[in-house]
Amino acid sequence: MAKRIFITGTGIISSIGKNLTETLDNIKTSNSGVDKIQYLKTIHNPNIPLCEVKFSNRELAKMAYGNTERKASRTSLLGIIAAQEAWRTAGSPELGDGRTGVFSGNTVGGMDLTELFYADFMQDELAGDIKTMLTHECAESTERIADSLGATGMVSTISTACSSSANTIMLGARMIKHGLLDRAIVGGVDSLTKFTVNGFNVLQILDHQYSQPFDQNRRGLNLGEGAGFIVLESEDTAKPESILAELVGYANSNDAYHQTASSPDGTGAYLAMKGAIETAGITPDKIDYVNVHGTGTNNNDLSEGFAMQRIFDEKIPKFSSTKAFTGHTLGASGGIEAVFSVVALQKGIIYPNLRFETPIEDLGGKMIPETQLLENQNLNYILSNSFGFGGNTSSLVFKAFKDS
Amino acid sequence: MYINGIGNISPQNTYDQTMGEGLVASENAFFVCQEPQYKQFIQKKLLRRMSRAVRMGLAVAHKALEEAKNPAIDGIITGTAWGCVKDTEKFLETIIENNEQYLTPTAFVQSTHNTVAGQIALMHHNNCYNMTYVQGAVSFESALIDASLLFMDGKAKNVLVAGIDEQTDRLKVLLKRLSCAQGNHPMGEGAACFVLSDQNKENSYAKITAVNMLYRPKDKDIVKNSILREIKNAGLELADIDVVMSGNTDASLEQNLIPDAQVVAYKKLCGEYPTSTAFAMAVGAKVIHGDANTKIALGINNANPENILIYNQHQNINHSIIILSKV
Repeated sequence: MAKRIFITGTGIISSIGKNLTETLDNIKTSNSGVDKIQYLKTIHNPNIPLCEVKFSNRELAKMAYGNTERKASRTSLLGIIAAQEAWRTAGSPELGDGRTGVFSGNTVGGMDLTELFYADFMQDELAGDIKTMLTHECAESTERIADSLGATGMVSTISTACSSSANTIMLGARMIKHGLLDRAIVGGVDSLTKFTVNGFNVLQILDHQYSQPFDQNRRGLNLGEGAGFIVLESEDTAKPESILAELVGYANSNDAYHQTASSPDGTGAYLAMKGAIETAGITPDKIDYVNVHGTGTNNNDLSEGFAMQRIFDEKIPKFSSTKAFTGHTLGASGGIEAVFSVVALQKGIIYPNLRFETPIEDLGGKMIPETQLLENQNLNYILSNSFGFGGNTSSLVFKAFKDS
Repeated sequence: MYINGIGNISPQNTYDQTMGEGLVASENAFFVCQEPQYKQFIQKKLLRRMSRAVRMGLAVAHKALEEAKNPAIDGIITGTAWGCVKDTEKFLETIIENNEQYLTPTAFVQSTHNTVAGQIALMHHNNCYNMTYVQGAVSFESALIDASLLFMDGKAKNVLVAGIDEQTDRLKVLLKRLSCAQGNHPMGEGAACFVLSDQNKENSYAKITAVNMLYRPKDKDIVKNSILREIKNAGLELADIDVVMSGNTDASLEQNLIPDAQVVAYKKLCGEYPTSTAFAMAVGAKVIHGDANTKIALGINNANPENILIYNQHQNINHSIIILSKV
């Protein structure tokens, strides 16, 4: 018998706040996280703005471990902070029972430390602290998160580029649905590194100004960092008073068009949204709000827009890209946006798509995102999109949980 | 889940035949894969830009599909701990050497862990479910569990599952410095791909009757009980396990737990690497299917093994349990 999946906890850290309260405060005041580079050591400062989490590694170590001296990759530190918040808000259910999964999405691993090590290593193969390489793999941050929670059940890491953490949410849901786990903490994390900044820069998809998702004059994306986790629980174990929302739909597909670019007609995006809405057992007109992938690149927003027109026809639901606030946090984005979706359902709010001015002509000039914070909305279903390199496309459908 | 097609690139001659007769030993504590002629199925101009991880991944997928008579595929799931190491190194080194200037995107684009799964989808024009797991020594097991969920969901009839990890010269230096590569404990690499199906066909090699993983089990009893539970869930008795293919230097736990089974060490053929259990599953399935050369290579005495337990663990952090059974 398939089990219902409830969300009972949320945790978030990004350039707009180290927890949910700070994050919402910044959203209310339209305070975006895009800024001049303060922490990453790169020659691109000050030409490329980033959405950095506004703390040094020592400060993050204090928050994650209570110890500024604790050595860990920035990725692990961010992951621990958000996962701990998610777990705490879920009421810290029992964990060491093997029935709890820890699934995290990640693209860059401990590359922030690898970069430092590698500079020495390239000079002399015997130089540098070799232990640094033990923090290189993507799984490392997931294991540090699991250890910080004391988990001993299934622990796994997904790396499907920018859809990584949406896919962990899907994995957790399917494991619980089939009774293989009672609960799972799912989401993802990524930190900013020279590796990613230079990679996206040489692909010429970075905006050197503040990004404008879904705008006719968009110039590219702003990279960000952070972590977002939610706690999923089976209907059998979730305490009614802890339930924030329900996860009812999910789908994953592949665009199979190009290693980095989206197909012009958005095939993968269309299939993911269609699949997620079908899994939810609803029709597209039931969707009240779409938290779009909306990176702000020419290619993504056009392709995603076409796919939305195919799904929703003339009746496009309210939509916005929260990446104008947080930047594109890559492997963390699906987790961060899942937190946004759950909170939107709980509080009846819709986030503004900052800096939007002109609708995209090729989409008929009709796709206009929400530009103001909307409150007192009656929201039942939210669709959240995450698409990535390698053609990976995933969509999730969240449903409001209303006491009846 | 039935295994209906296998592609296996390993340090042994396992691509064009089940197991080459002359076994290859490691050199300086490393095993290196014997690679096939890629030109037969990958265009030359594409091949030039592909790293070994991608080439090997595409080749084993091609072989597995061919063996399974090219069924429609409903999922592509890969496991890789190290990812596309060569392209990652290439991009990182250029960043450092050129001080973040004069870069080209190719290496960056191909450095992402999901490159192999994405390229398989691209090459086969496949829009289906596509996933990549990067969980150290249980990356491949994660992929297997995901495949089993697709079958449970009724969303799939045939799923491609692969485990891939490549070595590079730089990685070898790092592994040596981490004291991982020792003469009696060589490191390796490999790519193995499977067409898994919910249907038992005449060309089925074996069926997977259990997959599970453990994270930091508190003591040995938890491991033992987990193995026993998987055997039971597979509908088997302890005595039904004919062979244990162990990935562990110290195999006393599995030997003591199942004293009547023959315990063989599969890493003497492929070396140590995170997705070595994909190699173990490939050769294990061929043993169950009755392949004499593979049996000899592994040193299996039993004339007709019907149930094989594959048990591997890494530093007592990630434990993997897979059971293969005769169809």
